[in-house]
Amino acid sequence: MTSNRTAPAEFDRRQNRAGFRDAVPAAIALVVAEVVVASLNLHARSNRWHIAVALIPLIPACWLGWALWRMLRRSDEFQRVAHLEALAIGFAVAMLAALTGGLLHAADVGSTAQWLQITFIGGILAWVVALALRLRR
Amino acid sequence: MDNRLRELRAIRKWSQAELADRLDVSRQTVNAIETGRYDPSLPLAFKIADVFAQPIESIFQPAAQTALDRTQLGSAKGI
Repeated sequence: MTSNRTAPAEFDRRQNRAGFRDAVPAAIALVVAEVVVASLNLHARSNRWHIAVALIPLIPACWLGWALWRMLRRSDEFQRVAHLEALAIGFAVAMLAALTGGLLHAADVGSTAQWLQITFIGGILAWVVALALRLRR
Repeated sequence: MDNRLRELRAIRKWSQAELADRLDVSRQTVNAIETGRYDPSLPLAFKIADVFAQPIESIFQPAAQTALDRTQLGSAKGI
């Protein structure tokens, strides 16, 4: 009897283990860096190093980007196409959100920080949803 | 492109995960090929042919070719 059992193949297990090993520490480091910088108000202008401190979360963000790159390199051909399509959709949504935010900001709607957050979250969400739809069973 | 992957897998009583292991790809890829959502690259198609020990053209056929075969089969049967 043939089954379409949902148990992962060895390839999937290998990929999940490596992805977990790469991405989880980077994600934790990003959250910790954001929380520490925000809660200790380290990027306040009174601090001499406020620009450098404000950019600290970029280090784990780059680490996360490197984890994503490695995940793409480990993917098989179908997954790679799916990842790249999803990234393209996420990029298009982020660009549209940035343009919309810019236009609305010019019309005095919302603040720059709000629009940047909406752009970032919108891009990530579009990417994740597009990927989930493409890789559905 | 049409393929006989599901049929050949069923004959061998393999699950999608087992076939994925033999091809060293993810189970999602096997599923996507079987459901026609993805056409494999030439190297992967050759690997599939090798796993099933069949010529590549007996596993993969252009969609139009399959439709034509069905039409001819229908005519031959007088359908």
